[in-house]
Amino acid sequence: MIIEKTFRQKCDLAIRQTLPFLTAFIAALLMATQTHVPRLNSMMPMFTLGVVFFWAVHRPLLFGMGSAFVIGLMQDLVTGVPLGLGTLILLLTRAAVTPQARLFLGKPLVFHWWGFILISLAAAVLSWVLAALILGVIAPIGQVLMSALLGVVVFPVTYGICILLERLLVEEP
Amino acid sequence: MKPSAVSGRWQTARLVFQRFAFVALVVAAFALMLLGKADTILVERARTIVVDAMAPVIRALSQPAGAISEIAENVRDLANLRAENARLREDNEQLLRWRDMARRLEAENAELQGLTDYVPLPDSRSFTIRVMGDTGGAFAHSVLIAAGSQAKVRKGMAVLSGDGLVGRVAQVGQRASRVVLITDITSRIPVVIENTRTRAILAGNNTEKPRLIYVPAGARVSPGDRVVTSGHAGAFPPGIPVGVVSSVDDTVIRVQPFMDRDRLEIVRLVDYGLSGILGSLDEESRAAQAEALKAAREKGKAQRLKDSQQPNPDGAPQLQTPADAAEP
Repeated sequence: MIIEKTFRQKCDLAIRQTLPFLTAFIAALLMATQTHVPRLNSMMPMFTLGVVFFWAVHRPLLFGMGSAFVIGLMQDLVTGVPLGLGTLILLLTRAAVTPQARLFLGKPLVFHWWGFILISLAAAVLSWVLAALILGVIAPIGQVLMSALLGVVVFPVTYGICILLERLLVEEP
Repeated sequence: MKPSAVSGRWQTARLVFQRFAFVALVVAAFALMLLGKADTILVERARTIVVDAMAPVIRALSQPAGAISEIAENVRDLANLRAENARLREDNEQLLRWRDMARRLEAENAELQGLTDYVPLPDSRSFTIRVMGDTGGAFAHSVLIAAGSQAKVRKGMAVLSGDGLVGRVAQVGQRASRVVLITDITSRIPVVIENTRTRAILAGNNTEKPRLIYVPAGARVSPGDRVVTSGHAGAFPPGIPVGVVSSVDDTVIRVQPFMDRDRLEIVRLVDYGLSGILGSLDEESRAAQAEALKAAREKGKAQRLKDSQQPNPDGAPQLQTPADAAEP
């Protein structure tokens, strides 16, 4: 028996399916907000990295390579950093994490955190090297590492928000 | 054919496609990096369009942080009210003395300008705008302001806070614009040390303390010296306060800017009508500049003609006016 979906159900499904993308989109825009916290803006954590890491583990089908590319591109355009830098970092994160998803699924937060520390460190070093190549000048590595560290510190918050949103995905309308 | 074989082939094809997509997207990301270097105008336009479209969302997301910061500021102000009041009284007395001196100097300046036939800089136009976003993190120092071409913001405008120079407008959208801060790694500003008139370039390095480069050998620079714009290259008019020299060692001279990036809420945009090194002001400004230059040249020629008819009795050298200097 084929059950026709109502318009409301279709909308609900569409929203649920775009939820990972929307979360990453908001995270990218958050990186362009003014915090008024001394020195934070020059070491703004890469919120998108945590979000991409989460969805790459938990919902890789709803957050594909294309999504990572688009979010990275938008982040680069809004924040004014060299074009392609965030795009490549998010793309590589998505590509590196999804094949290892089985290692993380069903494990406690600490396990995810360790994984994210490794990814953050790799992303910080790679983005620093790429920025130096693109800009032709070397950005202070300390700030880049501090930014990565702050990203690691706020990861449990990002993880908690994403877990709540993921529950919405599995709940019946 | 067995269903499992079909499904296996389908999965293989999907895997190949995914791998190909990944490689294609990585190549596209590198292509974007090259594009960013090769076609800056196109990239700038894309940034402007995206920032313009996202401006309302960024503004909305920035509001909670702004509100919290305002509350914290109010609490701090209340705690320091008595001390602040005493300090302001003292400042006021000092400023009144400065005002009297400024009036005297203004009158003297006007008189001297009249005597030397000085051609002043074009009048400036300014307006005040709210900062709505701070972008870039460790790789770029820039802020987004909540005004664009609709509010007659133009590329190259100087951006000032109450403390001093903040940066310059680098991209202009319809409703939002991007300001590159003086601490940004791409920022280079011609400056002078106020008391010694030593010329240098203030080079941003994405830290809170930019460096002074191209300082002439043997120049005396000490911590605490004020740094102001020099007016060279036509980027900014001379005399805008930039910062103070914070440290001097054998290789590096660092400057602590007067502006505080974390406290930037409202900035003043000033159009001095200078295209300078940016060379991207609109046609109207270019025409006005050309007109002013032409008038100055004609005035200079008339003055020289007048001077040649009246020989200098002392044989002393004549003062060179900017109009003369502008002659090719």
